[in-house]
Amino acid sequence: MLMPSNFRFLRDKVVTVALAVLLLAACASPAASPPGSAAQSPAGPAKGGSLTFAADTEPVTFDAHVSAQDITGAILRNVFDSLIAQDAEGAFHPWLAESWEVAPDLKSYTFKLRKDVTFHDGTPFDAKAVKANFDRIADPATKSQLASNLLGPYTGTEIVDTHTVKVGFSAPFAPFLQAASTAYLGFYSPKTLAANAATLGSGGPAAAGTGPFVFSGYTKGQQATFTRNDAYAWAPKTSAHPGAAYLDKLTVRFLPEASVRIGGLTSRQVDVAAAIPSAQVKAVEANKAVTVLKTDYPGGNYSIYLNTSKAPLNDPKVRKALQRGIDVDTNVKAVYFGQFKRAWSPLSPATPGYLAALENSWPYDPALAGKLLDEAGWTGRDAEGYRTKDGKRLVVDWPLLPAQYLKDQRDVLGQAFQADLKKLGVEVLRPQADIGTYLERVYGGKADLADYSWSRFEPDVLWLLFNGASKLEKGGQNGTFLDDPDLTKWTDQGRATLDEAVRKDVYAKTQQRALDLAIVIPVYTQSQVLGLGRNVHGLTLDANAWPLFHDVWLDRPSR
Amino acid sequence: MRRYWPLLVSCLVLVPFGVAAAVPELLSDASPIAIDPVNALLPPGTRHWFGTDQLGRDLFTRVVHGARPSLLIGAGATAAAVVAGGLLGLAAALGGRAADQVVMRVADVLMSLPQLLVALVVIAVLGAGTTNLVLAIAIAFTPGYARVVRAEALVVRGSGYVESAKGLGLRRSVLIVRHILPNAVGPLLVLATVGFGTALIAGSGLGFLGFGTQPPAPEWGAMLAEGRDFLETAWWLGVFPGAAITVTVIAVNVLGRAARGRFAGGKP
Repeated sequence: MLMPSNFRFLRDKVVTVALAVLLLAACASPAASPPGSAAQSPAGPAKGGSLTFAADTEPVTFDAHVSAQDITGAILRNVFDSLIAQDAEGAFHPWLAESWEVAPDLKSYTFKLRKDVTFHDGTPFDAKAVKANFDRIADPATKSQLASNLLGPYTGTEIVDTHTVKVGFSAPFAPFLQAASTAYLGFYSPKTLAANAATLGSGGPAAAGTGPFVFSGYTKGQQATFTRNDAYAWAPKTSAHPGAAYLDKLTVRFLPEASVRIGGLTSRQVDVAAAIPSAQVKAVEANKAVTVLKTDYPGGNYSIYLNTSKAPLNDPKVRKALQRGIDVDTNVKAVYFGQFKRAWSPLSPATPGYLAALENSWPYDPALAGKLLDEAGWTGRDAEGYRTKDGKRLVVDWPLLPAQYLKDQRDVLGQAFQADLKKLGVEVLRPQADIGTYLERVYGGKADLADYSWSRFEPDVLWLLFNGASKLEKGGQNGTFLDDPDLTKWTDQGRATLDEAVRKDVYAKTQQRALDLAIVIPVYTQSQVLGLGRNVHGLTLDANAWPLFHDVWLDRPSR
Repeated sequence: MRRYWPLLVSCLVLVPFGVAAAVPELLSDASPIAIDPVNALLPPGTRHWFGTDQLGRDLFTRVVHGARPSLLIGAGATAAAVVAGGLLGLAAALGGRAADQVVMRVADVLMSLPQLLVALVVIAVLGAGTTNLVLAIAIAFTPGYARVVRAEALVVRGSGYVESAKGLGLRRSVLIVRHILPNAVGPLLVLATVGFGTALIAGSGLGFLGFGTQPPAPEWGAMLAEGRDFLETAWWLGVFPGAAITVTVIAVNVLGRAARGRFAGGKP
């Protein structure tokens, strides 16, 4: 979406947005339906054919180590394998690592690697490859936007022998196993890293990984193509079969306009379409040639974060008034036609550690909100009906992303919230400028409100959102600008232990406290809503609600 | 009489739009931004003549209130372009060779690009918003007007009455204001009537892309953009703002053509 460096923050947000959208597209049905599978055909998997996937966003860069966009990870999942695989329940399985050991202090992880794995360019996969990739991610010159976050307090990789590595951290780092299962910590062939490091962002055959598909070509603004890796024989247990993919060819077309994706799907020009808009789900479901697959995205819900560092939101009463004065329920239902769940916690219900007790604990209460604003001293009213204090109007600044980065009609939802708050006497400004200005305002702490989501199958995402060290200007994502001792302590504790009971406890307390402090207004849980033709079988979604194409097969070869 | 009926119809059609732009409250007393999510996406009916949008806002009220920004953008941009184009054209025609070369070469460069593209570039520099949008369209349309005025002024400059006025010893400024300008400006005004329609379309187009009036305030182009994802499920969201744009532009164009016909016919 954006260019690296200057746009890093933006990119993160944008990526988040993109992820959210993708997620929406892919994940709508929650835990109820396990990573989806299309109708099974009695004939069983058939080899051959080519599948076209219509994506709604296009990666700014195809460099997995640099990009923070969901779409990058989702697409490159076909090209890269991970050390370990995570199933939909959160359990870990061997993949490129046959086994692993975690040091008791959580400061190092030792992986025993498979010996039969080769990259697309013929280079064998070994300990040196792991080290080369992790070192590249941690190198500041790479300008990694997400992968370096996933590596946490990484200190280095030690090559124990040709097929054993020990990854070290300066502090206990529990979320590493989950991180190591993502495509962002995927492995490029050391040969291509040495020869093509600068051009990996543009994809193509230079992006040699070990995955089931070879990245054969990319035309910016149009499509990326992938062909089957016939040598592939090391799929994890989470896949239905270990060997090479069934599809001869996978084409990802970038179609940002929803109507084009849907039209392509119903006219059979594309086989799988991402991000079916809520308004269209019913119509698409009514089409007999198409099925819809929905899953909730895990991680941080789409939420509004309140900047506590400046007036008027440095006053907890005003924050609470905003939290209770927005009719989340009705508006989410109206804008998304009941397709998305309204959120009660900053964490998605699809994430381990979700605190269900928060549900219905802070309903819409405009009377209470008005009372809180009165107590906070905003008792005057000006000619336009807005509240004033000492002659100053109660205004909150909520910058709007440029149109091309907006997802899920969040601008429309924002208009609804704007109207709710106007009733309370709060003026909400939604200036829309270029992305640079947006980033400067939001990341520079000049805005009062910021909205984003952050998908990840791991409650450690709360560290990113609320830890005092997760500062926006340092690549963090704490849009509350608050360093609350409790939130910081608990989120630090959560990533320093593998004890499920402790993690559950600290993450529950974190969610509760974030809401009590009114530093966040959770809005809705994004869903991945995929439309797929009935000729597509075996499509599943991984823990991040991304579609996996390794097991996919078609009834008949598509044109 | 038959010759005039398109003109009459156009005028009649434009009256309600003019009223909507001037005093929208006269046509609808509801608020164009008050939401009512429970009644979202109601089809057109007796309570909501044009139906409601995604947030339950009355679409008729929004179309009515959208007239002012939409027409203002078209009119403002045209007026600004006519004034700027007129002045630049006169300067080019009467200001000597150097001025002529500078103004006309810059105009050539601007005219070699599509007007919408020029407007987009200006907005990219200035940022979105109603004022900037007016400015952007005005800049894109100015060269066309400048050319027409320059050509007319050159013709008028060489005419007998200007020569005789010069011979009578009139000052240059009086000459320009009293004799050249009034006689060169006629075709400009005709062109401006047609240009208003084009500017309105450009404004709506840029509004559609999100560069104009910022939501929740209604503007036809932006409303059209909001409705585009609902064409299959809620046709009224796109149809009514789109019809408003279409009808206004056609009516204005008919007027403009009629005016042009008159002027062309009355020319010596």
